Amino acid sequence: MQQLMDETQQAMVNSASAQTGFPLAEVNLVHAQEISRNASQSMWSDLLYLRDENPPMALRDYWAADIAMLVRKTPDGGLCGLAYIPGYDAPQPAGFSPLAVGVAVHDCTFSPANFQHEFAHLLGANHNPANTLNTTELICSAFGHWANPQNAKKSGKRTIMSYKVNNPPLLCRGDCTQVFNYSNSEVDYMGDWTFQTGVVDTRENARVIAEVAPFARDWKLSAGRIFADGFE
Amino acid sequence: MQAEYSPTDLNEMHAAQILLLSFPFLLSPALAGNIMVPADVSVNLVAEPNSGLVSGQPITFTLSATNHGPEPVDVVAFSSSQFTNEFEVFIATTDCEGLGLVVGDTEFSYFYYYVWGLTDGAHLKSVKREFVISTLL
Repeated sequence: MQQLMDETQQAMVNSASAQTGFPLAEVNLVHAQEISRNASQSMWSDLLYLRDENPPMALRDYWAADIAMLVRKTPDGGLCGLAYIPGYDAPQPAGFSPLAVGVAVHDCTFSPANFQHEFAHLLGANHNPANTLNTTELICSAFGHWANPQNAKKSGKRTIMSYKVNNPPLLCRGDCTQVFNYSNSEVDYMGDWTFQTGVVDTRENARVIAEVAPFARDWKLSAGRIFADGFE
Repeated sequence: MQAEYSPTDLNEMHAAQILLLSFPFLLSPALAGNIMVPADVSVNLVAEPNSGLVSGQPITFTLSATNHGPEPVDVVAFSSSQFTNEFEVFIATTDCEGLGLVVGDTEFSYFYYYVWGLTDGAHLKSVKREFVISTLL
């Protein structure tokens, strides 16, 4: 669990720039524990369980966890994750606390960053435009991004929130490698080619994460138990 | 790295605390026991209009739920069917407090659905809520 959080924090660092501040958000693991729950339960019911039942609700209150996530080892059919998303006609960020819960499968072929993908939905991030409901995002630029290099022999790349786009005429070439970044037009990923991880004012998930994070900080007021692992 | 910051500093930063609940691989199934039907809850959903729709036209969904007893019901959750791009969610309106939009990710695609939970601690007797949403232009 700590590794998942470390990776999430790394994504927050990787994706930061002048327009977002450094890092996008500071995330801390306050508590993790196994839950006695039948693995055959649907992910849909997992989400309700996290939101409405004990022990998750009581634990979340006790530890003042701004976000609660359940990590499954097993997928539910082909489903890799579920998360509420603020905005739309659902609660805006300031009142989103009761819905700040998500479920992620630990390992899913959908994405090596499956946990970070669901986590960012809770902070307002969306998929790439071709895989998003419609233009109803919390802010108008909250989209994931993918791109192909000029060299046609090289694979495309995509950010954490972007799907592999494989429906012509849109096509992310090769294995469409996922980089550990949220889209940000001010951040380049330097690999075998330079991937500008966002598009100015149109694919900027990092921006919405930075904007929602101050609200998330107050979703549960601190109980003074920051060092949950006993480290002081 | 966390130890470099005092709690005060953390509060000044955009610190989002997280609770992680790990999920064991397999556990014993729930114990079987007496089956109790706690309450008789009826649910009715009406869509208007429900035929001859034109793109962009608003649809009003009216949801009614009544608990006929005998036991009180404190937690009720209603879930819509899954959809992808049929609705213009941005201009939806509702008086359903606590309505949430869920995004689901599969290995190759995605979907959305709404969940409305009645969890304010009040016993369910009878509720009626409206949700207006437009079909996508």
